Amino acid sequence: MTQPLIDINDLHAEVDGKAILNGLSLTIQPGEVHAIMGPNGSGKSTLANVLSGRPGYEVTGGSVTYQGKDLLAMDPEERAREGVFLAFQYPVEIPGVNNTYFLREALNAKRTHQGLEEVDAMDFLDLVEEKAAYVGLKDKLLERSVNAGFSGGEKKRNEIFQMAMLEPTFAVLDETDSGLDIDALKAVSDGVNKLKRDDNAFLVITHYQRLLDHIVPDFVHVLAEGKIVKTGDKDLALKLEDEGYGWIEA
Amino acid sequence: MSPQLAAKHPRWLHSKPGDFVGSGQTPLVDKEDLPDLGLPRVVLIDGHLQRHLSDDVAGIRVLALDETDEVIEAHLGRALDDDEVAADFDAYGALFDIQADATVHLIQVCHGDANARVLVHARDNVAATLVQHVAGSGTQRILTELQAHRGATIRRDLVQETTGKALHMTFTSCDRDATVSDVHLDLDGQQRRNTTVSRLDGAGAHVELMGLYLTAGKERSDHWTRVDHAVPDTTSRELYKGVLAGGSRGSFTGNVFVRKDAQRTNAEQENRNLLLSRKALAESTPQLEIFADDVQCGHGSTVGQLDEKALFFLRARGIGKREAEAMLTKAFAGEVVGAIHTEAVRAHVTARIETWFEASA
Repeated sequence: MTQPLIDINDLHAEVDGKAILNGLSLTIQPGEVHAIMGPNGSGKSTLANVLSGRPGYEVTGGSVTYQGKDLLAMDPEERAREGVFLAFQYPVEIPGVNNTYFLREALNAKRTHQGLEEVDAMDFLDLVEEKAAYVGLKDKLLERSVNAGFSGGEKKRNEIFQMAMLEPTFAVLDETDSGLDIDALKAVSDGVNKLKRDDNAFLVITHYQRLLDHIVPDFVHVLAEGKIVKTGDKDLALKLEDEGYGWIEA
Repeated sequence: MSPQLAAKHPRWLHSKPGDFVGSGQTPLVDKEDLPDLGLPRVVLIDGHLQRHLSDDVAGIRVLALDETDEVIEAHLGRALDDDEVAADFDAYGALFDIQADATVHLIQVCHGDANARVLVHARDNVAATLVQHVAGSGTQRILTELQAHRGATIRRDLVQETTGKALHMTFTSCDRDATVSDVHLDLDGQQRRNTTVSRLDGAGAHVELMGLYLTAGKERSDHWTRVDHAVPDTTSRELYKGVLAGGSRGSFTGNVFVRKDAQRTNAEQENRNLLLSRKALAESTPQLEIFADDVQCGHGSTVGQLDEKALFFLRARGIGKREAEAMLTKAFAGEVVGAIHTEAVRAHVTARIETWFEASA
């Protein structure tokens, strides 16, 4: 068996002294798409935040091994440069920081980390044009400050656009489908599907089965009280949609 | 009025006239050593006009203030709200008599102690852009009058880069349909003091006041402004932003004054402060004094730190913590930097903010 892309083992984490993750284990191989579902408060977003290194989320036990390295020992920027990407549930507005400028800095930080040359201005703009088309992001939004004055759907498209630009090896989508109309949902899903390769993987966190009609998972996990309590294939998501979570806990 | 009595005037809040007295003279200056923004330059050393270091500026008559001249005679002191303000100043400095649209770079260098008066007299319907650049290591007291006559426009970028101490007093008079757009870039100096009194004297007059102050170490920077809406149908907008690092202190006291007859005044005032250190201190005192009843006035004031969510977002995209902090600090200053009138000054200030951040924050 190949080395897993990411191996989460008995992970415990707390926020403000309150235990949220209670021994979560999950192994993801390159080329796989995993979905995590679960009721509110089960720890879905905490998992996303812990994996991306958000300050304030304290790991109290367990380990996360990413491409053979200790992910939890890395700063958030180092994780990103190593190919980890978080598509934010609530993308933040940053007035005064140009969307395209910031993305070029981000891409160059990653390239420098990989020992590559910085991307030149013309190539970068070509890349922007190509990837913006993936998710149907309008040109004028690229010229604005990051997410400033974007609609909810535009912010989520912008997240997937950034993902397309940075070409992550391991991407976590934290409720990217929330607040999306059907067109945006389809655009976002198409973007993700185009980015799927044999050597990368996606962890899709969602409340609703409908996203999984478009991004078809290899595995569906149910998270409850900070642990994975059930794992199945895409049919599990359909069953959850019909019957809720009660039958699992019962 | 003696300096002791003058010090009790509220415009001296946070500092006193005696803070801005130094000693000594500036050694000889070469033209090559002066800042060059690619604009025609006029140079004052220790407050005295230096013809041999200055360029001719098309459209502007430049005179030393101790020369005999009708404009000086008729207009010097006319924008002051109180004649006593001038009592501590000598009759040095320069007149800029703007006769046609023009741009000029005024450089005021002092490595010792100096005071100077500057009179910008913009005739009817002309547009002038003045970069007022204060440099050196000494102590400078500068009293500037910006007089915009009917339909005239004065755009000023005041660049404060003295590493020593600087007192700037600016008195603006803005006549019918005139505009004064004043950007104050307070970038360096152990102790800085800015007093700006802007009077809107004619219907259709508009005053725009933008300020950026960067402080670090033990520096202190105080800003006291008053916008005086004296007649009906005038507008003003004021935005001052402070970025404070180390153990520095900054203050903003802003007064918008709307006189009884000044109906249909529209005035906005904002002061925003960004603290980059736990030991930095920002004080903000916005004041509205409104005696007319048909007005639109707003004000806002904040003191805060870098947005943790934005910082994490940038880091989660691979941008280093320090670079992300610098990016957000530049973004904070961006609104004021964007208002700078001359491209060369904007480039200079942008670069300055970067080096300032690296060295100070």
